[in-house]
Amino acid sequence: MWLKINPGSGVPIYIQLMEQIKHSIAIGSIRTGDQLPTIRNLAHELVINPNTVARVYRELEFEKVLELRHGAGVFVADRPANKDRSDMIQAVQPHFRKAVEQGTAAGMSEEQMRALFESEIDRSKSTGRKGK
Amino acid sequence: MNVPAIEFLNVSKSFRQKQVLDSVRFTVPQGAICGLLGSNGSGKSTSMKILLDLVRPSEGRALVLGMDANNPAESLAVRRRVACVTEDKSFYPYMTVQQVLDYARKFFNGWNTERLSVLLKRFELDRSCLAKNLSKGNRAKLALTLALCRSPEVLILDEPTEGLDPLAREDFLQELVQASLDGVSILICTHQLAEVEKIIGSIVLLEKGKVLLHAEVETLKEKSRFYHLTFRDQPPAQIAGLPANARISRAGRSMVVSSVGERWDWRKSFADLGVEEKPMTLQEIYGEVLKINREKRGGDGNLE
Amino acid sequence: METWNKFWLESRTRLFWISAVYFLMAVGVAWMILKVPFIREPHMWEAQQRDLGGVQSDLFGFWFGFIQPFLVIPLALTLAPNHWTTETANRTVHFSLCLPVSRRSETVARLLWFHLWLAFLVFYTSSLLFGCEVLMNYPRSFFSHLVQCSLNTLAFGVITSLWFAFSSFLWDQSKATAGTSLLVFLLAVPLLYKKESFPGLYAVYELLVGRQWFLKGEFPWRSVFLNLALIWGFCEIGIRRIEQKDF
Repeated sequence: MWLKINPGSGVPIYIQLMEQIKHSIAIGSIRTGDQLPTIRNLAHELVINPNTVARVYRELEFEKVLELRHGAGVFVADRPANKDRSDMIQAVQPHFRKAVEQGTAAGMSEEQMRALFESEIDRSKSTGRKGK
Repeated sequence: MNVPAIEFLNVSKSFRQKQVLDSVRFTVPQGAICGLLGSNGSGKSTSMKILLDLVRPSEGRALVLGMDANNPAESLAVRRRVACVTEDKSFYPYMTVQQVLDYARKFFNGWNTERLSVLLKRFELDRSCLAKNLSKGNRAKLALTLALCRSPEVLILDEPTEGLDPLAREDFLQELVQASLDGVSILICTHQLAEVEKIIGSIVLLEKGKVLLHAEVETLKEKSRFYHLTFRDQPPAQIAGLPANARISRAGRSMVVSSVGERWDWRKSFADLGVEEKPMTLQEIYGEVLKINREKRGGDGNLE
Repeated sequence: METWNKFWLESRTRLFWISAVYFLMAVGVAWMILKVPFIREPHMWEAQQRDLGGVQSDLFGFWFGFIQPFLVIPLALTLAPNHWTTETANRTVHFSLCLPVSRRSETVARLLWFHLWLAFLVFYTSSLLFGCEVLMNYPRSFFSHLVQCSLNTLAFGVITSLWFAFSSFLWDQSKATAGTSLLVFLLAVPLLYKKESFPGLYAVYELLVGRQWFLKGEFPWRSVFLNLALIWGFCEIGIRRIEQKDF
């Protein structure tokens, strides 16, 4: 699992971390029963406030994405929530992949594709439609 | 665990008729990492000095771990449990690094020798170097080392990364994370917002001696936004229903509304308009709060 | 006390040079006493007043009343009884004040340390004078020498603690020196009158000149108590000012 926090994005760090953990589970880079780093190790690795990590783990436990076993550590829960998300990603991923392939074929750079993608998200938000 | 690490209770301070702090009131709970922000002359350093009994308040009280920081008897107890890095990162010019460490060590029972060796190695400090020959960066590193080895309960840091190279800054942040994991409460005063944004849990923003903002960073970020409105014709002169801490800037047919700490439900007034929402970084929040405050002060001519 | 180690490291070089310079001065004076007839002649004003004969009272007065005050005090002041001003200049004052030591205890430690060194300077160079007198076969009591050294130290202590009090307000060493010098000069004016009716005013100088002790064999109790009170008073003023100061 590779986590990268962007402090300058304006998105709260705990939200970024939660999304990235959920995403890692959904795409299968960590699986049910796998152990996550301890709060201490993750805080050190990402150089973030340990209270933020604690909060993320607590919220994900509340959402039944993670399981906190006292004395043992933090583990990926065997829960439908994870599976639903995994299905959702599986459904959407091919479309994303196709868009990236088309962009690359048209000669777009990575930054151009990212910018285009972000502006599409903003556009969808501004027209009041949410893809939930 | 109920006693806050730091408490400012309506602290005011004047130096020669000039008001430096005006009824400052905020709390830092134990175990938290709080950033004290503000422009130069806002009163940040004075606040920190009051906690360390370098300066005495004109009114109000400052408490550290429940003890009055400026009461002669209690202030000694405070200084035993608190470590600090002050603005002046200078040491006795006639002492070597080792002598400074030996001297400081005599005052504290909880001196952590292992941590000391680890830090000296990490920061690559030469023990035999005379303090007056240390570079600015090395002085900052020594100040940090001295603060961290004495196993404090509270860390008070005034511009701790000033003079540090990027690698040392990373080391310093790692040490802060470690300190936080050890249960240390931290108050850090800095201009390097981008650097400490990941670490800070809450912020207190001072401007001209007054507290403008005191909030949890993540909550603040969730509720603060830039709203970019594009109109077909001229934008309206006034907009109703804006949040309390909001600011408008106009450019042609566009208008940017920035709102700190409160989401703006623009759909009530501009449902049919194209509105782009963008989140705010801590730096941007800081800038917007200062601008909003200055506009408010300029508008009615009074201090807020 | 931990701070004594700091004071030692801070000033050991300066102490060495001051002691050496003063020693050389003392050697110079001793040479003059032994060799130069002009000094040995009983011509100083003290000689007119004395009831004991002999040159020893001239030397005594010359040494304790003139040489020492003008040499010891300026040299000693370079050791800075108010170390906070030096630390402010070095920008280490915040570091020192953040350590868990009360301002009062560190300041008192410094004053004590300073005055012990002052006493050392007075005693060790006066021992040279004593050596000269032994060589010249003057009937000299070692005990009376010791007492006079103590009285001198006390008198210098009044001036240095006055300087300390000034420096706690003015915070600039040269301003403190100017203020102290002015007051010392003003205190010396009554000396010109030599009136017995103002003994309190020149109590400081009485001790230095040693008239009462050496010439008459009377221990100057009144002066001693007055000077101890002055030292305590000036130090307390300075310490309180330092305790209240914003750094």
